[in-house]
Amino acid sequence: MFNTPLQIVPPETVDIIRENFPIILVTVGLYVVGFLLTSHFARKKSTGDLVDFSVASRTLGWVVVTFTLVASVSSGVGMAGFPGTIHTVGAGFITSVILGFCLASILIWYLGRRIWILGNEYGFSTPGELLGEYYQSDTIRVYTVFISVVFSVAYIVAQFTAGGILIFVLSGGLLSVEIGILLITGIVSLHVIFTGVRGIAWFDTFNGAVQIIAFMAFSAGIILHAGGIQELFIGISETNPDLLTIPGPVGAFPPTNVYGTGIGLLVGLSLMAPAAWFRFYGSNKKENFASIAVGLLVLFLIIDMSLLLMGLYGKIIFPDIANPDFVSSFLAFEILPIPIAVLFLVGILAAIVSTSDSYMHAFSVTFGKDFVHAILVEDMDDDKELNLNYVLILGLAVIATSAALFYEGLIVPLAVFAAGFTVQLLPLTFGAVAWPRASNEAAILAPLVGIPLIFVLELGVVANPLAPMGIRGVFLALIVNVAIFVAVSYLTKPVPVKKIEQFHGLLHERL
Amino acid sequence: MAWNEDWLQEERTDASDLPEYSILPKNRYGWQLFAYFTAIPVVFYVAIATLGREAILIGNIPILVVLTLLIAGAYILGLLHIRFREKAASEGERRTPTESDSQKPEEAA
Repeated sequence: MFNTPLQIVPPETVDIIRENFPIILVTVGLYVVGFLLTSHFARKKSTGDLVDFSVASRTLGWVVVTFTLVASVSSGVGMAGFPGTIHTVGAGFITSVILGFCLASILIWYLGRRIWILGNEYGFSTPGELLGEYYQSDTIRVYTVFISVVFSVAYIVAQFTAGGILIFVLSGGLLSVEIGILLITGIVSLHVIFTGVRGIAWFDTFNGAVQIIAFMAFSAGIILHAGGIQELFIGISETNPDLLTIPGPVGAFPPTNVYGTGIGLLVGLSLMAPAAWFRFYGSNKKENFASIAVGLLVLFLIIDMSLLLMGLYGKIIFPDIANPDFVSSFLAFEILPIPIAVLFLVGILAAIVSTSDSYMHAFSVTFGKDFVHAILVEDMDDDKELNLNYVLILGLAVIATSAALFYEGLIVPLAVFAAGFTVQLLPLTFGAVAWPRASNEAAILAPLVGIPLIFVLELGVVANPLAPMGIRGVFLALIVNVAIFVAVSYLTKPVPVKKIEQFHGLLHERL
Repeated sequence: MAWNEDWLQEERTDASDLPEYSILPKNRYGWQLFAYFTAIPVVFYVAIATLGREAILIGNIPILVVLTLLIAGAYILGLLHIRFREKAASEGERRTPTESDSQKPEEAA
């Protein structure tokens, strides 16, 4: 029944886990206690209304917002799989990822506080509310819903599948992958329903801390085992020098693709994903955003450098590994003390839970507010909308579990498309919060061309003319989107002056 | 079902009559930030396009990794500068008494 190409930990690890079961039980037990405590306190603090469920009544401090952003962006699949990618394509991949986070961080400062000011003034709690209101168009609201649905479903299914595999391994094979998927789906769904975005944010902060500790411990283990960080790099430069340069051993990362992947995927993931907007709205003041941007960059620098060390040292220890996706897990149990190796697996579990809960919440709120409430049932009150969110979470849980159980290998490519889709909203967002010359026609047309273009180029329906230059389809689609957005804006009239005053006038006054 | 495209019914002004809220920075400090944060990726591109292809170690660290750490460091420093400046500005605003603060209650009334 379970026949999936998505593997995040090697089945061989089960034997090691069985031999050290008491340590596993204590580590996982401590994690579960942390989970229950944060859920309990978040539930106690909750006011039980829609605003609290959606944006934590706009009371989150910058530390919580930073950790919850990091935890929701860093998926378990990525955490386990990125060292394998580095093992294959080289350090250029991490250069691209860190560049993407650098650009995302400055945009979080620039756009985040603008989004916060408008959300706080007009009560927005979704991307669709802000963009739909500015451009006065339900078409644009539906774009945001479509992107949120694709993005959330793709990521949640991939995370549930990975979570099932991880629970199978952590239980020493006692719990099957299918039971693991059902268990993780149930826990995450109930957590989101009972605690809303406040519980998610608090638990993400706990999860983010677990991940950082796990990755720092892993890095320290690698450095000690290699006899120093310089010895590690010298070893790699003698055996596989291509791994330390661009475009890398398989030529995947010329400078253009370092930028294309960084902008096309990472900016989308950390800035334009619907889950990120809920964190922006949930912040308690606009002055938080510079701190959030710094915190995000520092934490991802720690995580990504750890991933780089894992990938490169994995190449030294396991140069001919059959499946590079397993390199981090094999390395953990090869060179680290068992408790630290288990902490790494728990760190991956933390990333899986954090990504799943964030996107379940994002899906329910965007679909409920921007599609059902805004278009289908306009007179819905807040209590009904809150209940609708619960139903949507349960519905998504059923769909995602089914997709995870009967997974056919489409989810990972879909997740790449989804990250590319989110960045298609970037020009529209600039128009709404920074560029008053933007027009309604441009906002409707640019994603209408850009989104299908991602499918067409990435699936190879039409050859990407810039592929020889190392420019990916998602990045080319963004370039086309920006070109259309700017050109059509100049050819048509701007949005009505009253909207410009409501949005840009307010921002001009407050910034 | 209500599908609203209200912008179709709205009277929209000509671009020449737009209020002056530019995307461009408002002051010299804004321009400095803009220049700093756009110059870094440009310089970084040139650096990785030339040096990033070479298997050079600096202090036994690959130059691609050094350059990556440098761009991250430059962004962190720039953002920290913004953070401390914003904090100082908001503290300054709190300390500066406004006209209404200095009014006597009966005057304010």
